[in-house]
Formats: sequence, C-alpha cells, structure tokens
Amino acid sequence: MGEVPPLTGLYQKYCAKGFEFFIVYVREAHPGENFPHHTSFDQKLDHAKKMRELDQVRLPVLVDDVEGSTHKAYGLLPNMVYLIERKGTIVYKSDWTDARELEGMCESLIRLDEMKAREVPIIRQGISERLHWIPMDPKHRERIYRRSGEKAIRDYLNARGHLPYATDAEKAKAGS
Amino acid sequence: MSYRADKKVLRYLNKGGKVKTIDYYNHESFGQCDLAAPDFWSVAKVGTPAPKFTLSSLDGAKVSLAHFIGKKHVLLEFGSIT
Repeated sequence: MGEVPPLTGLYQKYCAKGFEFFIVYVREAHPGENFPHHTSFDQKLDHAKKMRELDQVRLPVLVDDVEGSTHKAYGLLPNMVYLIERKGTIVYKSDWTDARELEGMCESLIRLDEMKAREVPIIRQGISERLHWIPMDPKHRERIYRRSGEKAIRDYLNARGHLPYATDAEKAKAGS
Repeated sequence: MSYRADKKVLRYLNKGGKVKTIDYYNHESFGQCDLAAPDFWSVAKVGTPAPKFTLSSLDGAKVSLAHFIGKKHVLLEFGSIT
C-alpha cells in the first residue's frame, strides 16, 4: 500500500465535497509464505479483508477479479493512483501516492466545480507533467516484507541484487 | 532464458531447457511480474475516458464506475498487502 494514513485524511476531507475514494485490491506484488499469489477469487477477497485490518484502511475497498482485468486496464503497477473527473475523464495519474500532490488535484477539481457553477468560460484544458520523489523508510519496508514472509525477501534479493529495505549506501555496496 | 508471452500465461525455458508455464499476472515470485509488464504511461492516459470497471466490495456488492459518472469525482488507489 502506498500511503494509507495521508490518504485517509484526504478521504475524510473530500468525501463530503463531491468525491468518492476507493482502494482497488489487486495481486500481491511480493507474495510470500503468509500471503501467497492468488489462485481463486475467494482467496483474493479474503486477502483484501486482511489488508483492511492490517493497514487499518478506512476507505471502501474494491476487489479486482482474479485475472486482474481492471489492474491491467489501468497499467499494472502496484501502487498507482488515478483521479477521475465527474464526467469520467482521467485528470491525474501517478505511479505512487503523493498525498500533497493529490490534495492539490482535489482542490483543482473543486475549482473546476466552482467555475462551472459560476459559468466562468474555460479557454481549454491545460496539462502538466512532473517528477516526484518517494521517500524510503527501511523499517517500514522491512515490516511489509516480513509480514509476507522470508520468501518475499529472498525473491526480491534474487530479482534486484539487494534487500528490499537496503539504503542507497547498502545498495551501492551490494552492486560493487 | 527465452520468453514467449501470450494473453494469459508466459512460458519460459529454464537453464535446463525445460519449458515452464507461469501465470504472469498472479506471479508466485516477485521478479516474474517483470516479464510482461505493460507500459503504465501508454494506457489509461490523462485526458482520456477512464477504463470502465465493475468490482466487488468486501461485502459482496457490485460497484461500477458508470454509477458515478455525472455525479462524483472518483479517486482510485491500487494496492495489495505486500
């Protein structure tokens, strides 16, 4: 999960202002002994319920089908965020939850609602691109991987050549 | 290793030359998911209509994006336990 607590704050702030927030539960990114890969919808639903407990999710949770149809349609990354404007147009997408950026986007849609209410003419739709930086908390990362199981840590090490919760210095050492 | 992707599964030859079939979507091990990752930026682009979905809530109710069109702004965060 990207950032549950900040998203919960935004949910509480914006759900009364014309927004619906959902968590879409998808495949396990790092399957391990405790949370293996999905083989049936019932198992996936059960995992989704456990996620709600473990991460104390307050937002409504939706469960994708076992083939990942919705996950694939939206790009398959593990922690994507999308904001869809009332008419159904995607106005924001991100490969990670940046709550501050997301708050700015929610405010932008509120301004759009106000412009429409006041019948302010709109010249055109503008578009922005940006980079953002995702902070890494090794302790948090280690906790997430350990709750999946040793297998998840081993698999990450095999795939990437360093531990999932290695700092930059430790990664450089592993690569040298 | 050599790979051949199709819609549902991905087959690969391991070092011993044995053909192995895996479900690349519900991968058993992290690393296998890299074999057929789509380009996040080439699908569901900003400015285009959001892909439609009907999904189950935890209590079994069906929730469709179509239900909110014209009514609410919708935020989606994708996630899993691990």
